[in-house]
Amino acid sequence: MIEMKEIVKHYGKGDNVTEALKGISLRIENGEFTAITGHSGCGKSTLLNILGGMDRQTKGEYFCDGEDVSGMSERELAKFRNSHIGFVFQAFHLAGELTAAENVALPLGYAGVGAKERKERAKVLLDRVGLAEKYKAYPAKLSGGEMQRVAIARALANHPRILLADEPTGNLDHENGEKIMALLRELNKEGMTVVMVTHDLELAAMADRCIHMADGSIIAQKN
Amino acid sequence: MKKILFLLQNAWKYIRYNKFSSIVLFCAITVGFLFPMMALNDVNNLLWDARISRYEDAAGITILKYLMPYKEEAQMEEALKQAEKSFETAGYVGMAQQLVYAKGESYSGTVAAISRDYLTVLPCELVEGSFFSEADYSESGERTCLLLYTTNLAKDGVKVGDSIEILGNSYTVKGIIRAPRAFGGVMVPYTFAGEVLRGGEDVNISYHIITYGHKGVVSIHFPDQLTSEREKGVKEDEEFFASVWKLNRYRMLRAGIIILFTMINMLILFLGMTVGERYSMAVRMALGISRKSLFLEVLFRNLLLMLPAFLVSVLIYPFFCVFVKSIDSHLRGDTMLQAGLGGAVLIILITLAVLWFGFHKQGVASMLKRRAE
Ligand SMILES: Nc1ncnc2c1ncn2[C@@H]1O[C@H](COP(=O)(O)OP(=O)(O)O)[C@@H](O)[C@H]1O
Ligand SMILES: [Mg+2]
Repeated sequence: MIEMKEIVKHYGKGDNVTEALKGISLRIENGEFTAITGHSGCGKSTLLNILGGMDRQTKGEYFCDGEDVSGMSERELAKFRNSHIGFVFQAFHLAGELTAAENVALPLGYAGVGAKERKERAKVLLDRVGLAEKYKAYPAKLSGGEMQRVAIARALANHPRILLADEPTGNLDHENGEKIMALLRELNKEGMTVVMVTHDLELAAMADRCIHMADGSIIAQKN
Repeated sequence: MKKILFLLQNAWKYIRYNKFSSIVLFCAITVGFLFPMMALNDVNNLLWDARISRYEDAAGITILKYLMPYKEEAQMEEALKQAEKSFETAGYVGMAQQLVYAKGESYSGTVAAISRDYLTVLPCELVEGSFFSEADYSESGERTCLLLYTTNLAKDGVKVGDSIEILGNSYTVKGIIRAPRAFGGVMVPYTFAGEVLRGGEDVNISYHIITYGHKGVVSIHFPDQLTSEREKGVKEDEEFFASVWKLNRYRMLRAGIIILFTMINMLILFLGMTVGERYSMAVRMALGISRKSLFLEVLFRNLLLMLPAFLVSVLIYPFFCVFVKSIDSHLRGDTMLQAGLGGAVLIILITLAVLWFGFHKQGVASMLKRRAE
């Protein structure tokens, strides 16, 4: 369970301060599929980054399954990301020098998994996202939809409990976007907690719950 | 171990993928290593000069020691012993030292201008040819010289009747002698002292360091302020060394500037590389890579480029030296390894310090974001 209380995030200092989040309180149950919508610049990514332990809030409390994430050291935070969180980005962020399988296996390698097991698990994961045949392909040879599926497979590699997706369909056409959405839904059905940021209200409507943000605050919630 | 291998593989894949920048960087590092090596050589020369001026009387020995190419170890030992012995009796001899740098295949030795009674004062034995006759002391006569049996010249096959060149003048080898307490490797009649030593003509014996090539060509190189008699010499030596020190300060400055420039260049290159890597690092950090692994992976990337580049620079260093020597002959080659390694370690440390203390603090999200935009 994710629990946030009065999360405030400031960027910059002095006169240049941007208040990206202005006191967000939020509770997300395990296994929930949550969509976050809102205009560009309203703080959606900032919120997701804090959720994923990639950024720290300026003020407020954040507990994940009872653990105080804000109290973690850099090292603990890295471990938290590696073991609990799967992150999917709008820009995919695949490593260009690695094949699809190697990309998927990357978090496993950092977790100390051996080469043979990495290979096997990467295969299973790629199969899971329907890309078994692109095993050896480099990202440059994949379409946007395929890259995003590789990214999702990579996010799943360490069996995270929470999958965070920041506009995962933002760079994709509608058809591919729907495929990704369907995949996320499927993962959610299997028990994964999913938090997805999106512009697309149609996609957002497919979530269990929809949070609407504006100017650093939550202004509406729909179940 | 598994993980180290994984990180190494990752580093290698990254380098391979970013071919162009890796090659540019590789070349830059290679060239980058050459300059500190040269600069440090210069510093080494400098220390050498300092040592020489410190131990005036032992100068001949020091110079012999440093000029001899290592492959001639045995010959060097012999020449050294010879030189040491000769310095035992050097009390009354006006001495002058001149820094002569080994060039390519050259060796060093001493040249002595000897008086008529020299051969009666010191026991020596004729191996081949003959001693100087009265005619050899005549200024208008043919220039002749004696070679000490133990010197390289004689060992290199210079025979009686051959001629060698000293300061542009040709001397015919009249004889080869064996003399346990000899003063010079090459002896010329004292009448030619002025020519050879460019000092006072009242000297009867003087030491000088010469270099000569394999083929028996002697090139000898003296400044005008060379001294002759000791009493006179001490004062003049001081002046001479003062001028050397002045030169040293300039050289030290020059070496320092070269090192500084190189280090700054390398640092900028590596920082550039690190900044260029920020994205790939940010991706890994988002996946929850530990600081240690991140650190190692970047270290491996740097090392995979740096070590081969260093190797290549060491390999091409001699050719580079030949090139630079054609511009500046004051160059020696025995400190290049220390110099290169020192430079490498310094650069790695600076790069990693930046990475360790600076880079990690920037935040994953903002780094990823900047790339995406
Ligand atoms: N690294 C940063 N430095 C400064 N300001 C930032 C940074 N990241 C985001 N912001 C600002 O915070 C606000 C929220 O940004 P963001 O969370 O990216 O919005 P969204 O994802 O909803 O489009 C914006 O005004 C943005 O300019
Ligand atoms: Mg955003």
